[in-house]
Amino acid sequence: MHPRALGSLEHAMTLTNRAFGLVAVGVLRLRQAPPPAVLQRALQQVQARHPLLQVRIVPTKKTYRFERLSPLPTIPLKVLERRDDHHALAQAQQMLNEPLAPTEGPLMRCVYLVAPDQRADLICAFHHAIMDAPSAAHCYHELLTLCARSAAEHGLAEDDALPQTIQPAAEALLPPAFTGFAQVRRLVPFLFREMRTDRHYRRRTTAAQRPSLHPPSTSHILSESLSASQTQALVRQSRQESVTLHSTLAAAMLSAVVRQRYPADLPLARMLIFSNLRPYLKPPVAPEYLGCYIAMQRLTIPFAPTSTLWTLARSLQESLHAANKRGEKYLSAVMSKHIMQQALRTQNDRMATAALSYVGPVKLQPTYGSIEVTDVHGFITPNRLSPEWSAFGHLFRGQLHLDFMYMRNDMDAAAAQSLVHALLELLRNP
Amino acid sequence: MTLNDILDMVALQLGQTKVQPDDHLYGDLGAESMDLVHLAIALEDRYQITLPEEDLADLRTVRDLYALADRHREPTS
Repeated sequence: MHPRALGSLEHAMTLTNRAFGLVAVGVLRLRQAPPPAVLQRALQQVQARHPLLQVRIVPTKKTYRFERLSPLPTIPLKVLERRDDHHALAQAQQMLNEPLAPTEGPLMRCVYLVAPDQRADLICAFHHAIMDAPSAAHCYHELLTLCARSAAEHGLAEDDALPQTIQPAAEALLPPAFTGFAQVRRLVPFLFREMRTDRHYRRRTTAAQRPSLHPPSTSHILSESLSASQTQALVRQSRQESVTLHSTLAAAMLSAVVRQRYPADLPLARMLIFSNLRPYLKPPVAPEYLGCYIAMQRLTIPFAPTSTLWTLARSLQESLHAANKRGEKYLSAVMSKHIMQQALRTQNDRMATAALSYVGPVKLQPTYGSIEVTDVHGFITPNRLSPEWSAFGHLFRGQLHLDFMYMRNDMDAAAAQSLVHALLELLRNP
Repeated sequence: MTLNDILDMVALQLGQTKVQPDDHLYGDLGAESMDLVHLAIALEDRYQITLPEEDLADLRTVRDLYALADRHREPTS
């Protein structure tokens, strides 16, 4: 395995982790769950397959590097007795508030909640630099496949073996039109556009920009879902309005947060959108290669008291589409380290009003042998510079699931519940 | 519905002059999720079919899109 320097986005994640303890947490809810010993063995096999699960992150003079751990410690797995259905999210919330130590590694740890009736919840915390949503889902897929096959005493087939080489960072795989001098030529207008939008937004939205004043704060989570029929109705209606489900969800989040938190006047609203870069890279990066291949884009749109869900969704969609046609998802990936360095230096502004990471259908089977996957969740630690309300959305078993994150300094549990209620109302009755 | 019909629709939606069946919708043609939704709407209107959100997310190439639309045209028994 060849260690390598962190890419721009990985570097940004590492800086955020150092400043605010950024952790990505995934929750998998199971029935007919495997015994802890079987899971432990599967975890070891998964670790052996993926070089990024065998590294730590070490600082160098100018940057950070992935460095192989030697000797290699196993991924920590703590087994606890499962109390009830609420235990998993309580545990996820606790893990969201416990930063990983990247210089020690490995960059993943797990807790397994086990009940006598074979219900179980697997909660894993990752360093975001080594894992995005598609690769986290794949990691779970491998774990469950191995657990299901353990009865037959064989693991993943040999032809499933992965190269023990860390894949290049996103900026090394950009399309040719976004590399070298062409990239520089595109970056200049991109940065000017960003600065101009930023100045305009700051002047008109002082209140929404201010980070919470009294750190440290704790991260809190909530989780909700729509029924299968409600999800289908929302997909159908979004199509009728010619917008993606992603745009509809983003608009609903913005609408709910602006109306609940800034009812007086907020003429501009800013949304942080995370997109999957993997299929656009040259060559595309498959989810079985762990890593963080996402683009973080800020969309600033006008907000009027009369704005409907669909006008906001169209506005967001047009804004995103125009940005993507200019290649801004690539440029923002290239610039992520610098954007984060700047944000951390000043610590004056929040990055947006709300954030959404929508990953579409999660690539997990409903069953693996006798193991049944009943639910999946994903969370990212919020911080005082991130939007005060963030969500991770996905489809699983025909249902739309939304996992929300907020900080206690920004709102209490009742305010967060009220926001979620307003959002669900919008989605159920658009 | 033929593969050529789908090639024409994709070319029109994505503003491309030439589209090949095995072109990658994202990497080669630069399609965004919005483009896929518009393609899905056009296909649904034209062929009176329903394309599930989960299936759209699995599409890689233009040929995949054709196969998906064709599969949903088949009468269910």
